Amino acid sequence: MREVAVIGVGIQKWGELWNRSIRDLFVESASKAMTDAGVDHIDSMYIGCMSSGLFAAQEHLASVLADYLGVTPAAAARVETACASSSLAMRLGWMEVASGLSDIVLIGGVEKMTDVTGEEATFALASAADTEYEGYNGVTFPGLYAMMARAHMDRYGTTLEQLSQVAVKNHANGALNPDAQYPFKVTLEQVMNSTMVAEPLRLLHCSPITDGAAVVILCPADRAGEFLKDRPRVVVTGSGHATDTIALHSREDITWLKATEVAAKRAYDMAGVGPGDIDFAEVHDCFTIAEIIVTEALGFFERGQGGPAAERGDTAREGSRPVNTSGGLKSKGHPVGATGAAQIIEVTRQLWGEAGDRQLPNPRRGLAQNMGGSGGSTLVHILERR
Amino acid sequence: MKIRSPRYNREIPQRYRLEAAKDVEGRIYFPPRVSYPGGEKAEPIRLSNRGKVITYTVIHVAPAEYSDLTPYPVGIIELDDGARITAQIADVDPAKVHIGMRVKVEFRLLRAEGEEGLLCYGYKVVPE
Repeated sequence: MREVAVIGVGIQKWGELWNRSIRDLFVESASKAMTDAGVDHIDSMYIGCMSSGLFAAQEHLASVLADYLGVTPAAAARVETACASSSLAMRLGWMEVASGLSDIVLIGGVEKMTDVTGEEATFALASAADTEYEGYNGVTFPGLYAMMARAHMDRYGTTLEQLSQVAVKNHANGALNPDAQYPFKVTLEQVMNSTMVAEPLRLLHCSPITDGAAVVILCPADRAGEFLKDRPRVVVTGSGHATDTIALHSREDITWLKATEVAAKRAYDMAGVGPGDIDFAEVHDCFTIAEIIVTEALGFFERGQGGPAAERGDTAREGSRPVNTSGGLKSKGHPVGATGAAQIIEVTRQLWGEAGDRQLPNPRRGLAQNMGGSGGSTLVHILERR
Repeated sequence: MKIRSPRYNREIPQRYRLEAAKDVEGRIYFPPRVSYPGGEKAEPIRLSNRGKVITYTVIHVAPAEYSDLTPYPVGIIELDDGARITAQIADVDPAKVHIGMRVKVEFRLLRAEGEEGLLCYGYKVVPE
């Protein structure tokens, strides 16, 4: 297999973008990425989108987006693993370049979430869980993570302050990210007194509803020099993908994310590294409890120690293992299908040294973890600077 | 009596009667599946109707069909035969729900579906 490099990225400031359609969002980020890479064509593209049907009443999205980007007759596919959709796009694009089938591949994601009411969005998101045996009985998406949180608190003594500290930290990072939907700091008191959503999770423990798109251009590493100019070479060294049961109640351990553990192991093994070799990570903090469990399942901390680690500041920008320097889903926003590609962008920018005020000092190796549903699927990618 | 949708109808055995399946290695599947990793056949069983809460939440922001009910508790229940279900916890002060609480499964009205407001039934749990 050929080694694959990232040669261009594109994203806009995310938010409630009333005046832009799903096509506009995608084309804006995709054009930026193609300009950034300096490519005038693509061989193919993979676009992650969770539910253009329920959110925007538009299916056959790959053709819509290829048409409006002006790249027909390039091959295009829309792929879906709920909130992990654009990480799946990344994996498929990586496979296509690595295999030698194509040279210039565009991967990305888009979600247009504000054309529907809040209730309709809640319904659409709940379809990432078991519609017949979870959603039917009235459990919402935040409700599933709330039940994971309650079980984690009961077993390990994880506290509300620790859950809240994750939001405080991610907003502090997001305040330095000009693309973030909510680029401002929040205090522990604000988080702990925000509106209740699903006990014990409050509004500021939850990622928001967001419109946005994120796009990355890939090419074979041995051609990257044609496009990168003075930028360091950033290559994909690990890719892991795993599934778990769709219903939370079917899992052996409700405080664990098995698909994350397995996907991470696959990515670590491919890259020939372990959790201790990762300088920083972007992880799927759809709810703050998710970041705590994910940092355990990635092997950054022992089981049950994700909460104390967050409280100590280990995952802060200046900590031993910075997590979500972009602001995470919490502050940057969570247009579900676009989130994974945006994680790849943040990891790449950190490795390029282009992360602005939130730049880490000289990182070499970053990881992106993106999951769908309550953990029913997870993708992990490892990127390294050469 | 309104005509129910096929989608609703095919879930009736599980939702009304807790029909499940036990494979050759003793694992319980709810709902029953088309095939089982443990072997070719699985024996039809009915789930136990008693168990305990292993985790729970109280929903304050609900989808439209449940918004009149908020705040309402939902939990993952481990039944006495080891199977687990997700169910609303009814007839209880939400503040009194706790991990380890004993419950029994009851047949209840859950929600009204679609523009015609078809009534949908299933299970909830209540304190034992």
